[in-house]
Amino acid sequence: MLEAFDQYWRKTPNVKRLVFRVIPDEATRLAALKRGEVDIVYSIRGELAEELQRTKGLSLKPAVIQAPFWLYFPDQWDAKSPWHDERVRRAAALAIDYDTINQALTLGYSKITGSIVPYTFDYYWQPPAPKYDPAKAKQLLAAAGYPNGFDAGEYYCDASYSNLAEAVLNNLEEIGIRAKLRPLERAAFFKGYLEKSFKNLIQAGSGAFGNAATRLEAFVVKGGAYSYGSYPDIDALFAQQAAELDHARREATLHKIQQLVNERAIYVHLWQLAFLNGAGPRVKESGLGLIPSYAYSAPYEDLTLARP
Amino acid sequence: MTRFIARRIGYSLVSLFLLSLTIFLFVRVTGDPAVLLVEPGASQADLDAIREQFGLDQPIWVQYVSFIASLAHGDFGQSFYYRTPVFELYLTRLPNSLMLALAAMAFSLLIGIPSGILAAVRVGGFWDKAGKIFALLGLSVPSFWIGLVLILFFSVYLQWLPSSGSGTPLHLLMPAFALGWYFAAAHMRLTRSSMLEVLGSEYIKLARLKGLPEALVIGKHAFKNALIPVLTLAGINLVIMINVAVVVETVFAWPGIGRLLYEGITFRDFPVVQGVVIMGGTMIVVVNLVIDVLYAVIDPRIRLEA
Amino acid sequence: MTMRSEAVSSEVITAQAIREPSRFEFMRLADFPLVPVLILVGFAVIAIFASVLAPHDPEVGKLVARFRPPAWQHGGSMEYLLGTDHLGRDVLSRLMFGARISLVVGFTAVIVAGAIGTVLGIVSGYLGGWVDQVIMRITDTWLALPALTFAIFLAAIVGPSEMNIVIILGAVYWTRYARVIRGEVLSLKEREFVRLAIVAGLSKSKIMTRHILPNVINSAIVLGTLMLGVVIVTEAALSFLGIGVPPPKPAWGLMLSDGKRGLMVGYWWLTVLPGSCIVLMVLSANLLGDWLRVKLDPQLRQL
Repeated sequence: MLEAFDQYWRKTPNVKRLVFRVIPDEATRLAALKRGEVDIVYSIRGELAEELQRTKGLSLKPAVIQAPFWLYFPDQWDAKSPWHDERVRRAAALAIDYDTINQALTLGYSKITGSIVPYTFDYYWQPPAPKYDPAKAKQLLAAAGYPNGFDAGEYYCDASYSNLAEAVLNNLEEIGIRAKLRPLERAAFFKGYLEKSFKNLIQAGSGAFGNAATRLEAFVVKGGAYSYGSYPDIDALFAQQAAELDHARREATLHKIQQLVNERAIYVHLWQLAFLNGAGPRVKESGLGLIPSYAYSAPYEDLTLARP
Repeated sequence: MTRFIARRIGYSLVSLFLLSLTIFLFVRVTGDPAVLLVEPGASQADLDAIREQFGLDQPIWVQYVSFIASLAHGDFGQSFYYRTPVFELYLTRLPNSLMLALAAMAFSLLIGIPSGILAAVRVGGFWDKAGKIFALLGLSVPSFWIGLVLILFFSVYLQWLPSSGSGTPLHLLMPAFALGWYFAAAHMRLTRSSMLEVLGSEYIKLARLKGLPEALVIGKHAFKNALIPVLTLAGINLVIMINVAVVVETVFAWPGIGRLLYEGITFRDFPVVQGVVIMGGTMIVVVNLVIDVLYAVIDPRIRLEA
Repeated sequence: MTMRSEAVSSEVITAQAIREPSRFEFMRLADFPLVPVLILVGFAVIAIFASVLAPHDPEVGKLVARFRPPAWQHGGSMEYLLGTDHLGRDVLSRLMFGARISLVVGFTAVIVAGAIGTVLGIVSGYLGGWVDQVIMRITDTWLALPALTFAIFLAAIVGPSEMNIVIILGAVYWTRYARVIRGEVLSLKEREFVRLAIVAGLSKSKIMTRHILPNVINSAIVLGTLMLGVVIVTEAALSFLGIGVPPPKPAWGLMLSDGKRGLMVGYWWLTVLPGSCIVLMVLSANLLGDWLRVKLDPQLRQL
């Protein structure tokens, strides 16, 4: 519980007391908001979000955060794995119905950028928009030698995003790629991700701050915390830009790297997540969306109530 | 008397031993126990560390002894997810389950006993037939489905009751009903047959011959005697309820040990799963023991039978 | 003392069994339970011909078609007769393939449990002595642990898969058989024909297989039909909790768990329909089992 501090440097908070309640179950959260037990809720998705929108007195506030999500292929450097073939990876990219998933889970508020780098970052390169073409995907798979698809093994994800995983798996299955969903609790997931314990397919996202270079460094380049492998030409380019002082040339190199990542389908971008929050009738200024790219209600001193 | 109790305790100890042995063996024998005992997402180094820590390369009886030793100290390991000792976690959640079980038990007895008596007193009649149908439904309709249907009606359509969570008596109504449903039918069946048995006994025949009014016969004499086995069963069932409430607690997001077990499964938090199961089994063995001893204290014939 | 504490410490079903005769006395012995049998046969037919009967793929759906209500409701269509789920998968097709899963898992588990339990029951009852003691102690202990809890524990260890579930259910439920069969064997041991066989010098195993086994088969079968309902419910519960049949297979319990998310928004068909199927199947199995018990062997009323 937070109590208002009258002498705060910005201004005196309007709301005297903020009580934080932890409600792990999404449906229960929404029910609490509907009944007026709470005034603001974080993270309501899918059909529950639609319900929130429909309910009078409640308002839905989306916030696109700087967390792109992706599908990663840790096996792509293994010559024996189907994912080694670029065509298979690109097939996976074509199999996913980005817009419908976006619509279904986040009511269309997420941004499909095509990049693992958040679009607000410095040195961001805008890839061509991801396409949904299952017929072409099947063709590519057949060309790569898998006309009936294949068993891809396990699909690891952060349990909070299993809804996304299920939708993606559904799409993959349509072109014949079957996998078993393995949702893990967040801490365990990141531990495994970091320690490179995962195989086959990984669905992850990252909201870490930085710029395109830092993002690439962590996820693409050799030695990166989350890089399960690397490509020598990309590594060379990255070393080049690290030493480059001229801004324009550095940007060009970073753009080139991102382009390669996109062409080779090292990652398949899924969306840049929109966090959906809800506010009840009692709230006038919820603080949601006041700070761009920030998911939660802030600054607290700006919160106001319409009625006590 | 003491000999009986001693024997009975011995019997329970054997059961506990077998229970712990079963659980222990299943973990060690199926696949690689290190994978279970370590956090999901762990690396090879972690697996090796766990092997060392638990002495998984030592002879199996050594492992078992240390397993039992830690259990005896209340050390059930630590939850990966909550990062607190499992035993502590269990004790915090147990009161919630107990509350739910008591409510469900009350419901099942309130419905089960009167309907059972009615069925017995009017054997073959309408109430008996209705009772039979109720018994069948109790067995065939799973508790989680009842729970879901209840939510649909009372939370979504009618909006009378909260659909999940806990805190107010209103939150308790639906889960208690869903959990108690099966047991209501069971208690009804037992009350009925127990009542029938008693009604046919010499004691009752005598009371009737004496000219006592029927209501008194049933209400005072038959009822009390018929109730004994039912209440005994109810005692056991209370503990069973606490353990099988997993699904109901999951449906209603009720924060008891059933839900703890569900979280353990979902988050691959094996120490939690193991802990809940061991505690559950132990509880049942202990309750059985207590009830048997109480029985022996009350009814001398049992002691002699032994 | 043993009888009482057994009665008291057993699961509810067995406790009931020792005490009272069939709970369906009002059904005459000649009354064939037509409706339940028809229902079960119906499910079986649907299960067998699911690939032909089902209008859509039960495991892959079109996300654009998600949460469609059943055809007779506003927004529904004939294309998805019973509506669709959160991934746009056709509910009717899923229910059909789900029947297959329920029946296959149910039957196989019952057979596995029955086989193990009958064999151990015969061995334990006939051989007596320490073999009997050991087996009975294990049986009692395992019976004390509620089936669901035990099944959850095993599933947490070996992981969910259709095959594993069958094995787990077999491992959990064989104790029911062992108890009953052993009781039968104990009384059979005293009978003339067994005594004669012993005198004639037949080996123990021959006696057990040639003489005892055929006489307990009846009980095993009846117990099997009674267990079928229980097993199906347990499998549904396990799938509901996420450790039964794994997705995307359309196990009814799994459909219930998936459907739960739509409950708050009124998508009733995702829970009511699979649940009704479970209830229908289990109800029919129970009615059939009970009739069988009364019909096949009045002696088994002790069940």
